[in-house]
Order: sequence, then structure tokens, then C-alpha cells
Amino acid sequence: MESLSIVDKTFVNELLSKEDCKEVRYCIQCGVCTGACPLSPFGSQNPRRLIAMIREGLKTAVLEALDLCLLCGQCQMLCPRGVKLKEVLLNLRQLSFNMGKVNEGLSFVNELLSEQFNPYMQPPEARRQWIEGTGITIETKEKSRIVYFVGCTASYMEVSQEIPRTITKILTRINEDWTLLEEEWCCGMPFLFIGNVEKAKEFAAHNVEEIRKKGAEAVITGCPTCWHTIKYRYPKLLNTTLDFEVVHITEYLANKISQGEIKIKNKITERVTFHDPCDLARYSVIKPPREILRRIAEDFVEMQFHGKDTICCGGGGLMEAINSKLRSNITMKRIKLARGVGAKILATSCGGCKYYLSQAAAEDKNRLIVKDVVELLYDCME
Amino acid sequence: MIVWNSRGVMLMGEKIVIGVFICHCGGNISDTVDVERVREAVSSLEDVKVAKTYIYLCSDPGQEMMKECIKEYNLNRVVVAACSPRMHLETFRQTIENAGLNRYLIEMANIREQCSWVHSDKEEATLKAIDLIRAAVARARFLEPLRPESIPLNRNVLVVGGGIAGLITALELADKGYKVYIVEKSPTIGGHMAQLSKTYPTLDCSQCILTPKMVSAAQHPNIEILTMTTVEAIEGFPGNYRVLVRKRPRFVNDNCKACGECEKVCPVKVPSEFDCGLVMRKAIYKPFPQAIPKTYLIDSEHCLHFTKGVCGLCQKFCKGNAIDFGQKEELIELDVGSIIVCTGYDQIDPSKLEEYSYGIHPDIITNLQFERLVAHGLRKPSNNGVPRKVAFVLCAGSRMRNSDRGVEHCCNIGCMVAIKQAMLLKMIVPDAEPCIFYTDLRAGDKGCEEFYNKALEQGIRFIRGRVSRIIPNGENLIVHAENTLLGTFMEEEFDLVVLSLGIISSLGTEELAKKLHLQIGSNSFLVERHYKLRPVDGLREGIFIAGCALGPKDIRESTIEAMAAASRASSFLGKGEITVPPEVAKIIHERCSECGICINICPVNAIQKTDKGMDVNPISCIGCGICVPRCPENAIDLKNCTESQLIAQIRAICAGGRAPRILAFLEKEIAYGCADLAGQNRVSYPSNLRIIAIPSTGRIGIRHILEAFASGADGVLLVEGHGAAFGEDALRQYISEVKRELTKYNIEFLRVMTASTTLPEYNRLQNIFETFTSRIMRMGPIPNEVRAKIEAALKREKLRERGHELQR
Repeated sequence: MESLSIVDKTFVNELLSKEDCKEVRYCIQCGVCTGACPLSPFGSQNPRRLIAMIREGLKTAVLEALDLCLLCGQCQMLCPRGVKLKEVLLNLRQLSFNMGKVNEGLSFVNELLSEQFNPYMQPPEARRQWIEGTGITIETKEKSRIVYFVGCTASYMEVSQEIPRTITKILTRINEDWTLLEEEWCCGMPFLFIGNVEKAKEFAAHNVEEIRKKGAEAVITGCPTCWHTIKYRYPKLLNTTLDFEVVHITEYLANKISQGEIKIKNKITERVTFHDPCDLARYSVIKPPREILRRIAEDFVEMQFHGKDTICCGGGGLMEAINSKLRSNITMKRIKLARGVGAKILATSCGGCKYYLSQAAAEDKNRLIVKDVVELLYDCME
Repeated sequence: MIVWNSRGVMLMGEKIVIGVFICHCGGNISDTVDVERVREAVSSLEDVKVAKTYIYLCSDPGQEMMKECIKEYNLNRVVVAACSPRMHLETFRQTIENAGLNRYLIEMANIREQCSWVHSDKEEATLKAIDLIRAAVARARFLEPLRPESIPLNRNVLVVGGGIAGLITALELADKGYKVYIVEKSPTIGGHMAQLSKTYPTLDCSQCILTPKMVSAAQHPNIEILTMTTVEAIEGFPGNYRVLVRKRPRFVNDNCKACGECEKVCPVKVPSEFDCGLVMRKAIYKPFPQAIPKTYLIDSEHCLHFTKGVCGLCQKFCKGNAIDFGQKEELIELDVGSIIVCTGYDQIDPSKLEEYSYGIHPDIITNLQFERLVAHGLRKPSNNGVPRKVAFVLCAGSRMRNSDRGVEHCCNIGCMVAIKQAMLLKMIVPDAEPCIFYTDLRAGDKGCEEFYNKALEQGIRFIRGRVSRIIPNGENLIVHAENTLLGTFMEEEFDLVVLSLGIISSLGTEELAKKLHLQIGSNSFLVERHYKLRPVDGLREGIFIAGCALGPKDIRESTIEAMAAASRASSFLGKGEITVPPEVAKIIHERCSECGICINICPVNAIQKTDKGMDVNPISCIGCGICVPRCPENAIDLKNCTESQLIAQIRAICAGGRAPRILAFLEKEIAYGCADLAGQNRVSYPSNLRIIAIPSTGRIGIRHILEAFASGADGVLLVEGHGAAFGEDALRQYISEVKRELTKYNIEFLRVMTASTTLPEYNRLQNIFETFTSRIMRMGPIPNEVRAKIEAALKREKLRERGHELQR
């Protein structure tokens, strides 16, 4: 515990002067954050202690305690003092990165992203591989009303590739004027997880430029992380306002259903429950996926930890790259909660969540089916 | 003999002789302001005969020095440059009165709160102090002697709220011989205290100590209790209030012997409010056995006679013929001299704390519900089982920042209540395992630390950690928290979870506050006149506050405040008369055309048309001055804020300083008090902003703004007190007219800004000062030719006015 004796007060002042970190001074060490952290049952992380160490100026000790975090934002949401713990951690990761201290797993992802514009050891040319062999044709347009931003997980991970396929089919069926970007890069959020803000800015600038080229009114994403990154982080990263709207596919589709542009033909009879992806729920997109599910499922039930108090699927904050075992333990916990309410179908609206949850569902050997809301909707559409 | 003309200009009389007294205030002023330089600078001002400095003017020797000067130099006007007039104007008025001068012949320059405490640059602060004094001297030259009027006051008292605070204050006053009305909105007096089992730290039975007080109040010849009654409207003034109250019908008359036969036959069951919904009551009921009045009542929202027009069983079975379905609501007028607000508290809505699952599982209850549970034998609401493992969750919805789910303040009683409840649990269920989850244990009151020690002795488990989540799990409840002392995560099952809920002022406090012209703080509680020195006085004279209406507290503290409020009320009423300030509007009859605009504009209906012309009622008039700039004939003036005084002050204050000059008109109570708070908290703002206190922003008309711009101002700010006489909408509307007028003189409308503030928002006020100043900085000073154009227009207007005067 040598690191607990190294005090650096300038570090505290520097951190507390940041816009998102000033609330650290209001912490009363109540421990709600630790009690709420999905990693706590595994004895892994103690956000309260991290804050205490920050305030004491224990820079070395703080920088040693940054790895294990899902960045799911649960602590931040429940904090009675308004401490933005997730933002504090991202700031600390940035500090750590700038000092050359990066977790090994994250460092690897950093290299992958910088080289190949995705975190999945895949070549950039393969970004549209999800279309291959499906018979889907995508018209490349110079200009269009809507840009569909696919995201890396949906583009490359086999389990999640059904999501973009379905979304393109729906967009085509309702005659939407849409297109894909010529050269889509990762949204850049993983860089923020790693602390590499400069690269995040570069990627943000590239994607915004690509979107503007299409003259789009709106960007639709199927991935909650891409959605929240473009919508809320790009303006800050680039110090600009976006001249297009950013819409998650569930918001878009819920709207189309309520306007009668999408009609429901048949209904799902099995019990369905919904796993809220962190990046949607914490940014208040809670109703749209439910509006869709209530229209298409006869027996929709809520499970524990839903809405803005949702619990991470395990995959948040690149946890797979940091500690794969911990990640799978958390995912399994979520599967058990879904089974606890007697659900046969576990719906979600995130490629990453779907990827990990379906993997765990298979390991669990129960017949829980994990599907994205768009897939369920497509099957029920007229 | 001094003779004044109708516009307050002295036509003949003795020469004005002014003395200026400058206070060091220990070093509070003199550390920042070079008082000696100030003294020299102001000595040569017109009509100033003498200028002196002193270390503490408010001290006895300081006041003596002033009195001697007044005599020695034959002073007939006095200017004191010291702290805020809100602090010591009364003191110095008394001083000059003792020296034989009329008490209104004094003007204060606030060189502490508005100068030395908010500016750190000595040069800037010194120059500003000189400007402020110059303005005070200019105004002092036009001060007139005024005499307050005395009016007899009513010796009756209205107590709003019949909880423990209301009862104690009523009994104290009734014993002193005052007639007291207790108005209580619920069907019985007793308040929340009647719901409690035992009280900490003595563990005596709550009802055993409360009900004798209830009976005493009910039987006291000087006390009249009105239950199911709320305050509807209030008019009048301190010492003579007329309060209209609305009394809802009980539908059971005084024949009721409280035999309870009706209750037995009533078929309707409703959750009992008194028992916090834990047990059912009938539609005809008595809240609890010792309720006062003992008369039953019918809940017309649920009674079948009222909802469906059927039943009437109670009427059939009542032997005393006490059921009266035809009873009507009554409006009653009460004439009182003083009002004491004892409206108590409510708890926050626990369902907003979603992570605590309140309402989802019946065994998650509030601490008030726990009290009722104890009264009914302490069983789990879900299955009537005996609770063994009980978690007490402290700070539920308290101590939260920036949250709409809870409140920022501490509930003050939660720690001790939880300890008491844990002890009671162990008394009733000997093998019980209470566990108290706390963040910081607060046991500062008398006997409380000892009480905490007793709990430790009994082996009650304390976990330092705020509960993160409560998860219903079948019959049981899983609690998630961090044991912060060990740094370990806890996930533990309990039979019952008790939430120590955050406390807010009772429902309806805000509405009542509006009617009484009281202020509500950001924490939902009423604001006292002075936190330390006038802790039970309301912001309005003759109105006092006690108990949880001021902030969360326990029974002992509520009682102390109730007794204090009774004492304050009796000091107020004991004088037998009230002095009405003379600072009211006056009509200049020779100019008045009786157009009646003022009658409609007056916010308190103080102006009436009589056969002798327009008449201002000095008792009703609140001296806001809204009527003055709106009179098309310039036929109204406001005493002690006359046109001559105001314009002289504006011109003098704008003459000094460096461009850009900002003149801020602040409503004298709330907005000015807010600026004082900025000073007290040493929150600095640009020194080229100078403040003039006015009774309300409605007093300022286009003429005053033009005078300011003509004489050197580059920006004018008007700040109204929140909820004050000149409403925010009225202010905005009027100023938009003013801005249109300004464009005629090529003055950008952005040079005038309006705002309103509550008393505590001094940080916001500072922000307004700063943003407005930087706005004017960017715009730069007004060109001299524009000023000259305004000056010429003002001159023309004055000539025109004189012409009219001569014609008449």
C-alpha cells in the first residue's frame, strides 16, 4: 500500500477544476455508488474509495484503480450528491493515458482502432460484410434525408449482424430516403474509454464530415453507444453544434408506428422482457422500445433493474478486453434475472448487449432467445 | 418655519445644514475605504457643515458624538455613511430623534455591504464611497420631517395549525389573556405528534404528554378551535388583520356523543390517514380515540350518501340525531392583531426514490408508518408476521444535491427516530435484529448522544453506508449497500425496511405564505426575519412562525419556538397600538384631474375618490410608489421618496465614478437585502455599479431613467423582489414601453435590464450584476451628444410643467 502515502494536491485541484468533476467536492462518502455498482458483488471496484483517494490527492493509488469499470453510469445516476462518477473516471483515464499508463487490454484496442477504425481485429474493407450473401441491395446515394450509422459491433459481430440487415429491410419497406456512409469509422467512444481524447476527436471529425457530405437531416443508429456518442459527446469534442438530428432506431420506429406508417400484422405470444442498454436508458430513451414491444408482444413483462436503473450486460466499458471472466459473470446475472420473470424472449436494442447476452444464454443451456427489438418488430410487420 | 412647494422644493425657511458621519466599522470599512480621504472629499459638498469619522458610529460613544455635533453645529440633516440601512437605520433615527431632530431627516450611505465588503481595490472602493455619500447628501438636502401615525391594534391572535407548536403557542397566549383562534385544516388538533408512539430521547409516550395539552386548549376560555378550516384570504395590516377562513362541513353536529354506533354500521372502508394507510377506517369516523373535537365526521368523498345517494345507515342508527347531511361550508371572518404560523411538515414522496421500491412491497414503510405500526402491535403489513430483521434506512431523500427526487437539507430527526424505533423494536420483539444504515450520525441535541450510547450498549447494529437499493424478493427484502467502514459490499435480507424520509414544509405552506406575504426559502420552509436574532419573526410585522414550518425539528425545539413566538406576539400586541409609517403616497390636489388611473393601478386599493378629490388611505398604502410615475398629471408624490429626493440622488450618483456607469434600482426590502447578503458573503461585483434603494421598481418611470442617462449613467438595471408589490409581469411590460421610448433618443434598449430575485439568491444577483456590467462594457459609454439631447428634452418638460403650474 505504498501508493497510499504519495500525495499530490495539484492533481486534485486540476481534476476538480474540470467541468464534470467539480461535484467530487460534495461527496459525503455514503457509499451508494459502491452499493449500486454491478461489479461490487464480485468485490472488484469501490467508487466511493476512489473518490476518497482523489480528494486526498493519492494520484498514484487512483491511477492504479481505474481499470475495473463498466462505465455503465449506475453509480452516477444514484449518487445523491450529483457526483458524475462516470465522467470523473473518463477524465482520470485521459490523465492516465497522457502519462502513458494504459491497461494492456485497452492499449491493444487502442492500436486496433487506430489502424483499422474498428475494435474487432477486422479490416476496414470488411465493414459491409453483413450485407454479403443476404440478397439485400443498398443503393449508394450522393444525398439523402437519412444516414444509417451502422456501428462496429453490428457491422462485424456475426450475432449482431442481423440487426443492420433488419433495419435496412425496414427502412426500404417503408420507402425511407436513406443511405450508408461511404466510409464509416468507429464512433470513437472506445477511445474515450481508453483516455485517448485526441483520437476520439479525429474520429468524430471524420464521421461528422461524412454525414454532412450526405446532407442528411438525421442520423439513425441501431447502437446506443454510437447514438449517445454522436448526440452528446461530438458537440463537446468538436466544440460545435450538429446540424443534423441524432435518432436511435427505437425512437424512429416507435414514431413510425404511432403515425401508422408501420402496421402490425401478428403478435408474439411468448413472454417477452426487455434489457435496457445503459447508453439508452441513462440518457432517457426508455419509452420508445417499450412502445414497440407493447404493440407486438401480448405478454410483455418488466424484469428487475429496468428503465433508467438498468444493470449493465457486462460488456460496458470494453470490459471484455479488460477482464473477460468478470464480464461473463455479470452477463450471466442478467440472464438469470430475465429467467426469473419467466421470459422466453429477452429483447434488447443494442448489438453489444445482444452479443454478450445471447452468448450467456447459450452457455446457460436454457432456451432463452435473445433478440433485438427491430428483429422482433420486423417479424410482426405487415 | 420651512415652506415647501408641492414638488417638495423648499421655498423659504432656514438654511439646510448637513453633518456627514463616516464609520470605520472596526476595520470592516476602513481597511478597504480610506475614510479620511472620504471625509475630506465630502466636507466640501453643498450644505455640508461638518464631516466626521468614528470607529463605531453605532456604539454609545459614537452616537453621543453625533448628538453633540448636531447641537454644536445646529445640524438639521444628517448623513451616516456606514453599514446597510437594513442594519442600523432605526438605530440612527433614534439617535437624531434624541438630539431633537425629526427621525426622517437622516439618510444612510451603505459603504459597507455595497462597498468595502464587495470591492477589494482600495482606490475603487474609496471613490465609490465618495459617490455614494455625494448621492446621500444630495438626497438629504430634500428630506422632509415626517410623523408616523399611531393606530390602536386588535388583541386577538390567529394561530394557523393545531399541532404541538400551535397548541403550545395558543396556550401561552391564552394564559396571558389574549383571545386565540386555532385554525386547523384536518378534523382534529394534535398534528403529527399524535401519531407518534414514544419520543426520543426520554422514551415517554407521545400521546400521554400531548393529549392533556389538547384538552387544555379545547377547554380554555380564551381559545376557540376551528378544525377542518383553512385560511382563504387576508387583508388589513399589522395589528389589524381581517382573515377570511373556510370551514368545511363535518356533516355531524354537536349532538354527537361519540358513542361510535354510526361507525359500526357504516359499510364503507377507506385507508386511514391517521394510520398512514396501514389500517382502514369507515366513511364516518373519528381520526383516533382522543381526537379533539370528539365529534365524528363524514368523509363526503367516500360516503355512499354523497357519492351514490344511497345508504344513510348512520343517520338511522344515530340516537342523538347528530347526522346532518345538509351541513354547508362556512366562510368566517376573524379580526386579529397578530398571526402565528405553525403549519408543520410533511414527508417527501417516497415513490420518487425508485431504487427503494416503496409501494412495490408492503413491508417497505416510512418511519411515520412505523410509528403507527407500533401502535397496532408491530406486525409486518404484508402477512401480519413478527418482523425480526429490520433495516432502518437513513437519509432517504435527504441530503441530495441537484435532485428532483429529494431535498438538500438534513431531516434533523431521522437519526434519533431510527435509534428510538430500533429500541422499541427490541422492546416489543426481544430477539429482533435492528440494523441502522446511516451516513453521518447526528446526535447533537440535549440527551441525544447519551441516547445513542444506550443503543450501542443494547447491541443495535449500525452500518455506515447509505442504502443503494431495496429489492423485493418474495416475502423478504434484499438491501444493497456498502459497509463503508469496511469497504465491503453488502447484500442482506430483511423482513421489514423503514425509510427515514426527508422532511418538507406541509402541503399548502406556499399558498399560505403568498397570502401572508411571507417568503419561502429554497428548502420549502418559511424564512424568518433574522436567522439568529429574530428566529421566529416572519418577514412581515405582526406575523410569527414556530415549529416545522421554519425547518425540520423535534418536539422539544418546536415547543421552544412556540413559546418564543407567543412571547414575541405578546410583545407586539402588548403595546396596544401600532405605528403606521408615514412613507405613503400623497395627492397634489391642485394638479389632480381625478382621472382615476391611480385607483386602478394601486395594488392594495389604497386610493379612493371622495367628494374632496382623490384620497390615499395611509393604513392600506404600502408606499410602493407605483402610482407616482403613472399619474399623467404628475399629481402624486411619495413621502420620503419624493421626486426631488429621487432625482437629486440619481443625478449625484451618476456624476461620479468612471464609465461605463451602471445605476441599479433595487427594491428596498428583498432585492436590496439580497445585495446586502452578497456583501455579507463577500461576493464581489464591479465597482462601477451603484445602487439606489426604492420602495418598488414601479416607483421608477421613464423620467428617472432619462435623468440617469442624461447625468452620466450608461446602463440602468431594475431589480424587483420576488413576490413584491410590482409583479414581474407588470415590470416587464412597463419596461418594454420604456425601452420603446428610449429608442427615440437613440439609446439601445439593451441598456435597460430588469430582473427579480428572492432574498437568498445573492449569487444569482451577483451574476446579474456582472453580466449586465459586461454587456454595458461591450456597448461602451453613451455619446455626449445623446446625453445633451436628453438633457434638453428634460429641460423642455420642466418648462412645460412650470407653465402649467403658472396657468393654474
